[in-house]
Amino acid sequence: MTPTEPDDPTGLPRRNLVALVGAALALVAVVALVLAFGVARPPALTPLTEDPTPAPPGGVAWMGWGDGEECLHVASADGTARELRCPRDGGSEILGWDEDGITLLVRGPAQELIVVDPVTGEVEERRDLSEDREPRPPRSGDIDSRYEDGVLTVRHTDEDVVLWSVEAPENYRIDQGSTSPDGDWVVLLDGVGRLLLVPVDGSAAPRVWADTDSGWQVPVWEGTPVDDAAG
Amino acid sequence: MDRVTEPLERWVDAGLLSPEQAERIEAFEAQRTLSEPTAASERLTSPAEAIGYVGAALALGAVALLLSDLWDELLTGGRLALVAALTVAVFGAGLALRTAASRAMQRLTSVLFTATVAGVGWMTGVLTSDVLELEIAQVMLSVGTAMFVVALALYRWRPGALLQLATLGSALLTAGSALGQAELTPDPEWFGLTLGGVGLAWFLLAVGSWLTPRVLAEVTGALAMFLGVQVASFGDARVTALAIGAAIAAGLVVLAVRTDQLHHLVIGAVGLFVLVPQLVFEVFGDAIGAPATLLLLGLLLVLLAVGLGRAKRQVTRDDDARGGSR
Repeated sequence: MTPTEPDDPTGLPRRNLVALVGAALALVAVVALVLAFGVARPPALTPLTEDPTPAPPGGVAWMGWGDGEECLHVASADGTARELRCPRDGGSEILGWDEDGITLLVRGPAQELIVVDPVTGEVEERRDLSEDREPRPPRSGDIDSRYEDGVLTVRHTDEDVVLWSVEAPENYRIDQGSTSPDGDWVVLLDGVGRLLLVPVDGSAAPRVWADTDSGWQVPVWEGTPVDDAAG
Repeated sequence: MDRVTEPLERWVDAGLLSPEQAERIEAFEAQRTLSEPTAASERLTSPAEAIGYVGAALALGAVALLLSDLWDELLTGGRLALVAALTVAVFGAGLALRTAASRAMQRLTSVLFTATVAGVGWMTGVLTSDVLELEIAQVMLSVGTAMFVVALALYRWRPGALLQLATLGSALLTAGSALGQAELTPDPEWFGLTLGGVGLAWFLLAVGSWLTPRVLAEVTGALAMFLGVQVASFGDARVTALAIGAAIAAGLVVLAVRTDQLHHLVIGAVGLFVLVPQLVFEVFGDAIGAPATLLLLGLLLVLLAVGLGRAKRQVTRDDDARGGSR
């Protein structure tokens, strides 16, 4: 490129310097805009381990990613959470958690049901899948969330109550939830993968039960019966 | 009689050149041809070079297939050692060839250094995912940053097209994955703004001749801006994003007309083709339909052609005027 304007004291044509400054300004402006308006935090909440009472009636189980594979996780009523087992034989779906253990539908080359001990993570039982129909996962609670004027309102549609109303960024979402078998608690899954425990009447703010790597699979409560089709 | 001698004799016969001048031109051309034997030989080696690259690509494909079978069996140390060995090998080969005079070897050096950038990214990926067990977003940021640092250093040392592309690509990866670190994933508009901002900065650096080859940098910078626009258009502010993209495309066309640079026209036209139909459908829905959109685009192109024709004539007249005044 032939410089068309007189050189400045640095020895560079003015056009080159203007372009350099323009590029730098463009980057600085983008970074400033993104930091000021683009990056937001989810609402700050107290962990269940720091505020353990009242305690939920039992634990919850969910599938999440660990070490690059899908793993079964459990959170206990005292607020502690751990990875229980990575099936290593295909994707899994939790069908229920009863006195026999946690029942998983393992999807792979050979689909089967396995029952996992909720303490040791060992497989207690393997069952063939019924040929009549595939067992259904437990029904999750009917949760509806609306965002309006900077406020996120989460409703339990079965109970017709507001579970939680909070000022939050627009991209903070709660789309999943599950009601405990005794009907007193709801566990919500928020957009950053936190399990939030909230009383079903919405009388207290949610507490963070566990952090998951999953923002999509609804957790299953301890005491949730398995669909009859699972035999 | 060669292609130099024949016209010289004709011009001597016509009295345009003296015999002495013709002899001097003939001697000069003969000397020039002798001193530049590589130009012809470079052209002759091009098919061989291309075949060589195709062969290397096939061999690499075979190695990749073997590796994919072997990869799961390897321990982390084995994976790191394998990737590090490959990266060091290609970088060493590039270092060894960097002083070769042949253009083919220079191109090969550029390919090897670009492969080094990819190798560094791969190695960082293994290190951060298998050893440090970072989350995927952090792995992507680490990979992008490592690749960008290495690509930029190599590009500043040996500026070239491939390393320039590697630098821009890794800059975009770094910027996008840095935004992905946010606890709440930002809306697409912010990803689009970030990618588009990098594209704009790249474009401006190219315009200021800070990047070589300049034309390639201008083209890729503009494409990165369009990438940002397209990503942003998946968000709530779709119409705004597409309108900004159409304005950028129109600006490139104007720039092409004003500076008589074809590449701006091509990229601007591509931008208009891609973005204007989306914008029209977004604003008018099915109200005016596909035929009207095509008509609008067609009219835009006709206007563009007229504008370019005028610009060309203006440039030609200006050149003629300058020639005549000498």
